[in-house]
Amino acid sequence: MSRSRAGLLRKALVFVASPLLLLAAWEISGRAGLLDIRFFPLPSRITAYLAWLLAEDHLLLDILASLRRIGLGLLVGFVPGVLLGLAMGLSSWARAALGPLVALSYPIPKIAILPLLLIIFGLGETSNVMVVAIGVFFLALINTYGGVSQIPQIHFDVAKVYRVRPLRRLSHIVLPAAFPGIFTGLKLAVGYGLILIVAAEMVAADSGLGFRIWTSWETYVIVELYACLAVISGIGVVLSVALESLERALAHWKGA
Amino acid sequence: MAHPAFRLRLQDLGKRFQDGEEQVQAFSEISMAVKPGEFLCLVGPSGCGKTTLLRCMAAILPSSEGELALTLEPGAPGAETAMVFQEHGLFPWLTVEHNLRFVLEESPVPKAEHPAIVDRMLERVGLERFRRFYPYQLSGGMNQRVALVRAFCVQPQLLFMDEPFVFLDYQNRIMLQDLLLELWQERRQTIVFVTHNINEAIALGDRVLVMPGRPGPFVREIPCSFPRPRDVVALRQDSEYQRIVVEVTRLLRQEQARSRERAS
Repeated sequence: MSRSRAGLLRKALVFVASPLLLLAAWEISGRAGLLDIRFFPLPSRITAYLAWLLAEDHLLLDILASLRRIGLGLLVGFVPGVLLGLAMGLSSWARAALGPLVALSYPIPKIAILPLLLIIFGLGETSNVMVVAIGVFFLALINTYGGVSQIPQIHFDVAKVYRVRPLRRLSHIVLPAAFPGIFTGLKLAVGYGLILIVAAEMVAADSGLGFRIWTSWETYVIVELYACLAVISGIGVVLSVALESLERALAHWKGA
Repeated sequence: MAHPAFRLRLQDLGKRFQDGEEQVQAFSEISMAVKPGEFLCLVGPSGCGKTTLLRCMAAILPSSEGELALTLEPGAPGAETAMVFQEHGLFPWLTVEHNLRFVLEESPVPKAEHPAIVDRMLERVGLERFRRFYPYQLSGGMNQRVALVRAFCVQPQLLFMDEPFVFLDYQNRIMLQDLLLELWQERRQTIVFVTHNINEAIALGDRVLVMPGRPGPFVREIPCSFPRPRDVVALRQDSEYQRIVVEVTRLLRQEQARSRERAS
């Protein structure tokens, strides 16, 4: 136990050390004049600026605004995606009916729908939430469908032989069996939601991280731009670590 | 426990599969009557359609021709049918205990009896210490033991077994055969057991039906009237047992050759 804990600690150190080394190299070459600090401000300065943004300039409110839009988008888009993915995985009729629609609409870059959403919903929260919702909808649908179609036939045979009622079959066999696929969809959706919301906020919001990045460019405050990028990358890491541990806790039966 | 109203009768049963343009006949002209309380074994060369036949009998697959009539004892306390498969088919997200409970909850067995049944069954197969384990934490033999008692838990009138021990090593196979006979001895539910293992069929069954190498009627019916309870290992020294094994082995060699001719 202590041995594996030591191994885990060593891995965590390497995990932290590689970005720290890169930042150190950046800082040193900036100070040595090897990097143009107008375009590549020193990490120490970005950190200080970030602290100031958080303390004095309401950056936290923008972070929360972006997270809120991602959360609402997931709520609105992910659940229907899972339901339609289940339908497609279980019924050849649903597959025949929805397959072509999905194949046609999935390749459209979802951010390209934003102008249309702005016309329909107007400039405001709804458009931002909807662009995330549409994006994560497809990830939920495709990964749920994949998860359901990979359920081993034996589970359905056992369900048939032991007369498992249709609703229990769905809730107690199909859902847990497809869970790994659905969760992969969720992990991808959270990352994709972050990408979409930042892009959408650049043009269609007056708050949020994307909005901040855009105003930093307009006002030429390059250090703020970097600070926002750092926040986005931090959010991405925290969310993915949280989802990984949630998955391990929920799918402990896989023994992974 | 014999069920007097029980009847399972097959008349000229057949199954065809559509494989693209081609029709493939899995089996045909299968007629038989299964007696209540009987342990019936079906053997046949590989590819003879015995698993498909069993799946049709268990209503997992529809048959394409002929008649299949199953009448069960009305108002019997347990489930109508159950099945043990080649793979254990346990749900990997449920513990051993919950795998048993899950099928019990779907059966007519009164809820109040579930905990006692699960306890008793796990004890019977020596797995009470593993009740909170997940299938991935157990060996293949242990999982198959759970799959075996899962079928007995629901107290079926009719139990289908599709080569349930085929993936086990020799020792585990003998142990599971012993356990199966022990469990069956208690209630004597009707069993239809498919296998390609001749020794297994003769040691376990009251009667062995031999499937043909090409679709057609059963080629032989062999009564195995050794006294019960049986010792599947000691039986190997019995001269009558040995005679039947040789007879069925020769028959299957012949049928295997016919099935090769058919394939070429």
